[in-house]
Amino acid sequence: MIPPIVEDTIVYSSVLILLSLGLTLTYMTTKVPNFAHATISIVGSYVTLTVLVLSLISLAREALISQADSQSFYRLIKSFSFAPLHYALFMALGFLLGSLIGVAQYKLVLKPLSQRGANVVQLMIATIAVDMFLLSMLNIYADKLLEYVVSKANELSSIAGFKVNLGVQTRDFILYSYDYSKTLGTQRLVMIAPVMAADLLVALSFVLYRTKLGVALRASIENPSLASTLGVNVDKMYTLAWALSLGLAGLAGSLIPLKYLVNPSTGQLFVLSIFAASILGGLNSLAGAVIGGVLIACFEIPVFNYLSSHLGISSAYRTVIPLLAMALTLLFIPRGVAGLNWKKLFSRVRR
Amino acid sequence: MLKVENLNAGYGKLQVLHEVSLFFPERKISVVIGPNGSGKSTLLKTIFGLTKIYSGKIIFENNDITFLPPHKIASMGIAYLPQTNNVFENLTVEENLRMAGYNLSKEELEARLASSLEFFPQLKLYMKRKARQLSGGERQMLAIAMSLIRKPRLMMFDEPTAALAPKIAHQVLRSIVKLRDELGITIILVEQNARAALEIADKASLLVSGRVIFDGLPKDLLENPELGRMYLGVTSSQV
Amino acid sequence: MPVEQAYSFLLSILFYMGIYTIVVISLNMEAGYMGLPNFGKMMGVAAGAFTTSFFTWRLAMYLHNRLTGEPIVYSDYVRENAMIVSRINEWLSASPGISLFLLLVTLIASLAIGAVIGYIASYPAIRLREDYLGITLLAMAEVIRVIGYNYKPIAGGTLGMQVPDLFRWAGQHRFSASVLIIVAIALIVYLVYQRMLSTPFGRVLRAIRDDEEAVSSLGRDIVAYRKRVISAGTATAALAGALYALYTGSVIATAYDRVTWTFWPWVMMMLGGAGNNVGVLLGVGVFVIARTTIYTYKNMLEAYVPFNVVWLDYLLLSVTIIAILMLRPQGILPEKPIRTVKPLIRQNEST
Repeated sequence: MIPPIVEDTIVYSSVLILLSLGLTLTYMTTKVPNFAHATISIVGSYVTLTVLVLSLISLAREALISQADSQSFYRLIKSFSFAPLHYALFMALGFLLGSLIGVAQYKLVLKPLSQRGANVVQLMIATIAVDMFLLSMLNIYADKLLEYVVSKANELSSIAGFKVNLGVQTRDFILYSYDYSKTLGTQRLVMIAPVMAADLLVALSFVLYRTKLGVALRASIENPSLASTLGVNVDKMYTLAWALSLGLAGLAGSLIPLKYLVNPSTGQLFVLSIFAASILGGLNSLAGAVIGGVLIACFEIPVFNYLSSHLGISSAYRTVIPLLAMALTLLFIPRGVAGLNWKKLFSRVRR
Repeated sequence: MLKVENLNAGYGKLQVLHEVSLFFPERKISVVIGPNGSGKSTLLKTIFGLTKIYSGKIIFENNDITFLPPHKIASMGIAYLPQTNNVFENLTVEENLRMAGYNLSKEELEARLASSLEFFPQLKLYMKRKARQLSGGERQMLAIAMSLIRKPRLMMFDEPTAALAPKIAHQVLRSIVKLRDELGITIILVEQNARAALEIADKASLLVSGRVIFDGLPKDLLENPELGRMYLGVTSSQV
Repeated sequence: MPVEQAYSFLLSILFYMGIYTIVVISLNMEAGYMGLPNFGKMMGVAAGAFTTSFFTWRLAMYLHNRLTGEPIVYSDYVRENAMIVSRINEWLSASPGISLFLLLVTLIASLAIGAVIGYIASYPAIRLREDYLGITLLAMAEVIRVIGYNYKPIAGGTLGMQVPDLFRWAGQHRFSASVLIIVAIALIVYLVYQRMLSTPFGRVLRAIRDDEEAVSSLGRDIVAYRKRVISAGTATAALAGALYALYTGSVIATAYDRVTWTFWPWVMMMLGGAGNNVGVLLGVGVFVIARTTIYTYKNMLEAYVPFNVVWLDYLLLSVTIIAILMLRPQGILPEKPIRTVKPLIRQNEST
């Protein structure tokens, strides 16, 4: 039996790795920190919620067609649990939707603006605008989805002859119970999140270091003007990077509501943890982003847990931890863990 | 081979080149020298489509390339080696060379990779090394090898020996001569290191403040008492 | 619209114009003049409000107890907050002199606290590139808010806190008098900034924005300028925060959010024209009127908007930012007169 705090750390660091990896990759291409990154991942969370809503409605309809009574109906609804197909579906859709939004953000906002000569500050405020836009869209969607759930429930009630309640919220929702596995004795997410993160890491490094496309992408990031004189379509490479990065964000986001409370503005705070992870990793290194993700997760969960139980710090201050880590990184190792000269560090320790 | 006629060009509102007319003959090394800020580098960038051209013409093998974008110019057989940032430092030597043949078919790339390495055999030793771990001279060689993969007929070098030790600089200039003699490539060489460059040159031009002051044989330039004292003396002591 | 309603509508517009002028004029110095991406502008406003909620009642109560000889007895300030403040208010309503003295002290304290917080918050990234500084300031603003929300003695935590009413002496003209004072202070701030930025100081800031290296090669210490500007800017915003708290009569940490106090000020500055102080007034005017109108006619708008009108605010914000950046990045009133005659040169189409 794995202790809950270990489970929490495993899941959280897996999600954080996927997110900070993408943030770092987009930063390396366009050199602008994307403030909309976390909100795009929350779009993935709403994909999962939508998959759940649609599955519950079709399950309820089937149950009512077979003339279930109120008691057996609710037993059925309560026992609903995601099947492998559901996981595949919401992760794939989360990836797809995330990468679509990422490409749109790059093609429709950032690229036209940098062609018009916008500076870094203007590009940053543009990503904030994208964040606000998506935030309002998510809020509107949450309202509409709730209206849809209520109207469907009413429709089903009239068929059933009793009050049907699907037990779904579109704000402050957590889908823990649909992910619980009796055979595992815990959530499936505890297995899925680290396996997905590891697989995607391997896949991403394979693409970047073993394929022609990946080498061209790395070349375009390092020296776009040289790459374009060699016949590489740099714009296409950057589009690919944005698609991949925000696809990973959407996928990670589709897993978040299985363990954490989600509402449209969840990204507003979460983005700070992602930035902290990327900055701790050096903002210019994918390996650094992975290390940063794990470290921030460890600071936020086991380390903070120790602090709050032994020093009596309220758990509400958890938000401050990644920001503190970020500030300390900038003060003492501004180029992050990836910028450290490890050889020199080790030789100093040996002496 | 390459002809530049009454070229006026620069960056935005800042005009650098004024009425520049020059001819670069085939299979020859043409050296362009001049003091700092005289517009030598701008001339190469302009030929490669990287600056703003106000008026004038650039003709390459009877084709007007004046307003073509860089990647089109590159595909016509012109290679441009900037002074710095001419290799991908975070890529290995092999990845760099493969990037240079990005649009080639696999078989063709392998063939050209082999012939390019034939020209710089020492690079074979470093294939898996990152380019940033190479010395300055090795980097220049990698950059030249990368251009060779694209089988250029004209190569333009922007101060390839700047910041190199004299012995290494000499090696680089020797390989440029080899490019002309063995592969028949036309060379345009922009240099601060004027005397060393003029020794290997077939033709020499002197640019001052974006205007052509001298255009002729290297030995005439070296022997011209006034220009030699004013520009060669000054430039070589600055290096 | 009845006269009374029209008057309160007008008062509300004047109030917000005063508050936002103070915030945006200081943001304009930081971002418009110096190119400093202060995405943590709300930090200053929150600092002023928290100074007011933490400090003003203590001083007021001390004076009350000393001057009246009837000490206010309480056991828990947070819980008995309403009672204590109403006792203080009763006393203050008859003492305009003491009220104005308290106002002055509160404003001075806010300025001081704002300057210190601005200095500390920017310190980790003050030597780094703009993007790091922007992320850090955004994150630090969040820290201030998290602390204000969770540490009850500052602003009462989740319940918020009442603050003494320093305008009660004006009786039925309380709102008119307070708006008058706020507008007067905003005018003074505006003139001080206009004056300060038209000296060589303002030119140095612009020079730093346009070419950092050239300025530092001339021997100007850019980091020192950044520190000075961010401290002064945050202190000024704290003034607005204190006035806002005193006008509304209460402080709750959730009211100090990024959208209201960081992003809207940015849009106002960008619309008017970054680096142009008259533009600031224009931007503030346009958006305060637009937002107040939307807020006032919320119910009427609901019939035309197919979603909850609350999200219209976010949509308006994001769409305006993108539109300004795309169509007129220099704003309506650009910093310098633009050249009307294009230089007669042939453009190289290919580059």
